[in-house]
Amino acid sequence: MPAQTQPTSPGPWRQAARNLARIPSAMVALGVLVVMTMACLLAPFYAHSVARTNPFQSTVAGTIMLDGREVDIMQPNDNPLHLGLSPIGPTWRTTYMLGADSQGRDVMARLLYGGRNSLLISAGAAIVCLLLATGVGIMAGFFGGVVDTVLSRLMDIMWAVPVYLFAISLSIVMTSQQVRLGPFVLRADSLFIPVMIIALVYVPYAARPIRGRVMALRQQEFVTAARCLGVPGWRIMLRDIVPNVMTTLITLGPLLMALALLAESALSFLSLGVQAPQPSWGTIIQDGEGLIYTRPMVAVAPGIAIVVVVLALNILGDGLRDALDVRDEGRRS
Amino acid sequence: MTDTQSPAPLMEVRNLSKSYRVGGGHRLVAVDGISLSVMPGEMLGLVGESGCGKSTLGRCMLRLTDISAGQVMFEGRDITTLPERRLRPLRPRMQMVFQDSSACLNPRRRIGDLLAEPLRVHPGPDQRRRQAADIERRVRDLMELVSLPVAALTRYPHEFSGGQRQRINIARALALSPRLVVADEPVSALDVSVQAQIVNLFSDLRTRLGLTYVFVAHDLAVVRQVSTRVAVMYLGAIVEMGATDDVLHQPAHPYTAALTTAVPRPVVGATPPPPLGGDIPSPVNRPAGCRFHTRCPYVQDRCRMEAPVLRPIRPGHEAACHFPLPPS
Repeated sequence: MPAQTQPTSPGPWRQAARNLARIPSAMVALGVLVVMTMACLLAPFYAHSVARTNPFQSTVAGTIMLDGREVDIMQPNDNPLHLGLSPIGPTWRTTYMLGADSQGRDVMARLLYGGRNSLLISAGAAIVCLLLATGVGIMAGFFGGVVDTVLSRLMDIMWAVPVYLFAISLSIVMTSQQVRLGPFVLRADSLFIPVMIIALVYVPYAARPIRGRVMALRQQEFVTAARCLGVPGWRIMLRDIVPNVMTTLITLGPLLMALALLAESALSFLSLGVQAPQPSWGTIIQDGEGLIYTRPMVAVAPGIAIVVVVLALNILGDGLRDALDVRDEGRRS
Repeated sequence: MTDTQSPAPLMEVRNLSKSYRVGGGHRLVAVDGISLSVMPGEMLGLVGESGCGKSTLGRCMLRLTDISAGQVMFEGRDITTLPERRLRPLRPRMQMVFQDSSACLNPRRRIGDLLAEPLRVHPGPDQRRRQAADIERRVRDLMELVSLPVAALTRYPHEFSGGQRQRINIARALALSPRLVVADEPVSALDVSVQAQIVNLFSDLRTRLGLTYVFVAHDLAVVRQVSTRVAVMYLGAIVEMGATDDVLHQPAHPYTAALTTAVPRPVVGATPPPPLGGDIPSPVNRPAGCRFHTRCPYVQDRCRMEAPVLRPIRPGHEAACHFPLPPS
């Protein structure tokens, strides 16, 4: 008998949180993600109070003071004919910290605002995707038989289409005109469109492991025991299966968000995700594409942001998987 | 057989078969046309080697697996093909205690929650949904019934020992005051010292609550202690059945005789029959004639040709053998 002094024991969730806290890489990744998210949430504060601009303010003819000198924001190119204009490079000051893009907009401000869109879309897409995949996976895994066959084949068909090709096709259709979903009208530049598209294309990716987990759980003796006690099927599903599937969902979450972030960036880069002039990390890279030789920072900065977040999400996902391993709990007794 | 039995059996199994399809178009016959009845108040022990189909029989009785052929009657009602929805109101009266005490408890639910679950799903004696306070009182009573501290209700299954977990399982099975409890090797996964406690708990609960048991076990020592009647199974069929003492001390079937000698007993001067050689034949490819003839030390030609049926040897003692052993 465990000690009686403790009125309640740590549940499996708290135990998992403790396990996670003991994994240094996961905690670093979590820290990075929190800092990035906070920075992006504080974007209006930065733009308004620090950089004194906004992400849409285009300054083509303006100047700023640098080291007591007036410097053009759009500078003549240093090619022999002085043709065209190059935006100002990184100043490492509060204004134009990372320089300007081809329309003279503050890249740092756009990076932070873009992060809001990118992180919101990828997190939203991951959550919507998990909800859809959980529905599909639980239905297929719990009912089995014909339901399972139909749903699994449907997933196979979706899986057979390359993810990006599928997403691009959907985007072209949906961003070319407004979409009517019953009473809701999605404008072509709505952020829900990339969320829905990305969520949809990754459903098979998440549904498959969830289905497998449900199938395995259905064979568990505690499900037979619940049936023997006369617990209705839907209640077994909600009370016995779903809480055990949660570990799979939590592990999948960050990995799915990383994939969604990459997909969002790719779509936005192709102008099929977040629509200009709204910033996102993908659109900023596209803005920087033409400046890649003269002002590489415009494309590199959002690229680094994507890499850092994707890496952190993957490391966090691995940490969560290790922390949530239920088998360890059983072995302790 | 006890002389206190009432005429109507609580559970009756008629010609029950359960087979599984295995690769290559073969069928694995786990239970092969078994008939038996369980009288109210009796403790029927089902014994046999592992793989003889005794657990499958227990599960078929409670309709936890599909039945291939035959009939299962509970309280005089045919439940063989009853859909799960119609079966659910009967479930409270027939319960099971499983072998693996940890696998049958959801690791993510607290003990109090697990014990309350059946009470939440089934209506109370007044046919209404039970009140939360009634459920809580009942859960506390159950913990007391199986001698576990009430404080343990907020704990999770993995924090208990195997014996304690089995007590929780017993408490959960008894939550709805069943008439019939099928115990599927409830002690075989436990330490020997703990086994005795759980076996005593079973005996104790039977006298206190007037339960009827079907006790599946491979350990004859356990069966001797808990059962009033015993059915010996071999390769999916009952080979001998009768009052526990009679069957275990005066076995008529050579298989039972071999099983009893496998249990160390302080009997001086008794000449044990030769030990069994070989393995139990595959239930996919069963021998013709008597299913035991491949291992029987007294095998005759007739045994290889003709399958013996279960027939009375003495009053209340049946065996499926052409040449039953004489009483010693």
